[in-house]
Amino acid sequence: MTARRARRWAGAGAVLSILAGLSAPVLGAEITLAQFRQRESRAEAAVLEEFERAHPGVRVRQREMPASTDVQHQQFVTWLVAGDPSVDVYLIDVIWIAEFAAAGWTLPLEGFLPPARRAEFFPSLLRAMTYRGRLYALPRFTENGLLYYRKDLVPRPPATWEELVRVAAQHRRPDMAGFVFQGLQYEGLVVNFLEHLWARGGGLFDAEGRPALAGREGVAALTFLVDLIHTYRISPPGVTTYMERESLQEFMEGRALFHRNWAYAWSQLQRQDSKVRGRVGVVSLPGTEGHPGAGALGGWNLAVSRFTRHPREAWQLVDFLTARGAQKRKALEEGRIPTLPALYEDPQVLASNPQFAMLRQGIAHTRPRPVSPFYPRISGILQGYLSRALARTMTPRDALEAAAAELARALPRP
Amino acid sequence: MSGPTGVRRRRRPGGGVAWVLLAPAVALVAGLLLLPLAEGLRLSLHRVWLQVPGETPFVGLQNYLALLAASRFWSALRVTFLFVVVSVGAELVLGLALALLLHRRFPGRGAARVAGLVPWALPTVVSALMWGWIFHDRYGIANRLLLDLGLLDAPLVWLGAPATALGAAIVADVWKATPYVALILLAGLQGIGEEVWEAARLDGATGLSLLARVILPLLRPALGVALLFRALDAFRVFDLIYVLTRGGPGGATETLALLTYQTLFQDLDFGRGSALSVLMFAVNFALSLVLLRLLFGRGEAGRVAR
Repeated sequence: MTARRARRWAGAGAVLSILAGLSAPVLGAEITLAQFRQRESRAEAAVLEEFERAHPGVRVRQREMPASTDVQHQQFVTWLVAGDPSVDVYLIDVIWIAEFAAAGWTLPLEGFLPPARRAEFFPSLLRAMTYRGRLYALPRFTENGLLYYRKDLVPRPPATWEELVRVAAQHRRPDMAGFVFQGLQYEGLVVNFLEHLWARGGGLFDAEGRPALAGREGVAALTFLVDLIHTYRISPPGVTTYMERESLQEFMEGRALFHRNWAYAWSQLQRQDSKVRGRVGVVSLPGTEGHPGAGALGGWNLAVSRFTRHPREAWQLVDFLTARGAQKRKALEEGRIPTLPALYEDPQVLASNPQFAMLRQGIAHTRPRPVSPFYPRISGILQGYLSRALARTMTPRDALEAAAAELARALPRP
Repeated sequence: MSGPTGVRRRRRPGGGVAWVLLAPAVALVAGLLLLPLAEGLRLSLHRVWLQVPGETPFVGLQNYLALLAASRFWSALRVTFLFVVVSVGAELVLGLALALLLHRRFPGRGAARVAGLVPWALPTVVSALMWGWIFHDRYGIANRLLLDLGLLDAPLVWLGAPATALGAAIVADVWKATPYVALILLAGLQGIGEEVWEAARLDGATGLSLLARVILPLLRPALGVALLFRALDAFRVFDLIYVLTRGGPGGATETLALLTYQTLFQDLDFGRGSALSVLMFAVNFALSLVLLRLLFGRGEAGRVAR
């Protein structure tokens, strides 16, 4: 009696387990992708549907985040500290990759990534996504700092910052600023400073990892930013309240000759409501005598949460969204800047984005901000002191020395 | 009906039942208030860097000492107090004026009372964006108005200069919170009985003497409530300043709440951030005790605090 019952249970169990095995691919997994709201939400929905068709049984849910980078960071940190498994894939800023990796919040990806796939990406991008020798994200869109100029007024773009100052001074007009950039106390100000620092051959840290920003190059770079406003007077005083949106607005209204912004600004400048449409040129950022310019690397990258219950499917989504097909679609429909060199030779992509031909060089010269788990901390300290110099409550040298001292205190010893 | 047992019961509420009835409230207070506070206190005594997981050594008071040694903390404390004192002071004066106005009978008073509340009803972020435009150096009406009136020779970059940024934020806060203060004071005014006004009138009190000798003393509880609410609220100001200036330029508008946010959610330094929160709590607690004592005298403050 009991033996028969046991057999019956065993049989039922076997049937159930077979059913479960069958049902796994049928019922499948639901993957949640947390990312900022995409510019063309229909194009994004189409890309995600395409993924679902290619991966039967896997469904993707988007969790749309607000545009503010800081708000995204705070929200992601809140979920990840709690080990929340309800988000599988995060679209993250390049400056958070090392931080999330060090905190143990994201999975290393090289085990998933076949060498042939790895070779498709710009190597410079993957280096910025590598922390302690392991790859923690794949780039979905890239961005880099560029110089926009009015090609109807300036026939030849300047190769050095000194030349830019000269040209802007020659074109001085009451209704037009010479050069607009991002001078508000926030991450963008740090980016602008770094680009000037690099253009002078300097860096934030020396080879031993000690803060080196208060050296000759750093003081020269920050002095130059201050002089743009107060000595050369080619940047308006209001630049200390600008983020990307505000400086772009000025340039788009025809109120500035030169403009530093990210690559995405190009497609905004071509919109119907742009007053400078068709009159804008874009080049890599200027250098100084003897040093080439370098734009900062920006962009958004896909990382897999360590708390995902479906690492394989999460990876499949990362793989699909960074592959050629999806990136091409985003480039065509949204003007997103691809992370695969091959797409810069695609005639269709180039036809709708002629600026990509120039961008490709820029991406090769782009420089990442320090790949450190403490980058937001570094930036927070810099923001306050750089802003003090721009507001002239501290001299550039004093501001940088104070920042260097504070960095040395706030970071673990190298 | 009320026999001796009833009396006794009322005098000594049965221990067991009372505790059972109190338990949900105690659990709620403990769970929502004391536990987070205790956890914050615990974190503040450790080094908790989220970038270095699994390594959270006990560091004693090190987080507090580092804060007290940092000029950034003192600057944020100074900015916060300046913001509280100036903006709440202005809100009380203007709120009182507005309340007195709205207390009078005039045609359309109901509509005026509702319209007056609009600034308070707007989400802070929305009004902050609006004030950002008002103070814009090129397009803002603040510059236009002052230039047209001849009060300025050249446009100011209100939000980009340390001397004016905090003032601009205070103006935006006063605009938003004055209706709230007015509402509380209006309720207080309406609580003053008709016979009091009449008696004051008969005794010949008018204008300022009426205000100083009759209205203000009777309005003291309402004023106290308004002051307390606004001071505690202004003390943790975050969204307004975050939208307007992000604490800039050069930290000139960085309040304690902004510094705490940066430390916790940008720096991911939960030890130091918790220490900041604990300090903010302590300062806020002391502030409310002082205010209560000033307003209601020793006995009342003790009662409320207890």
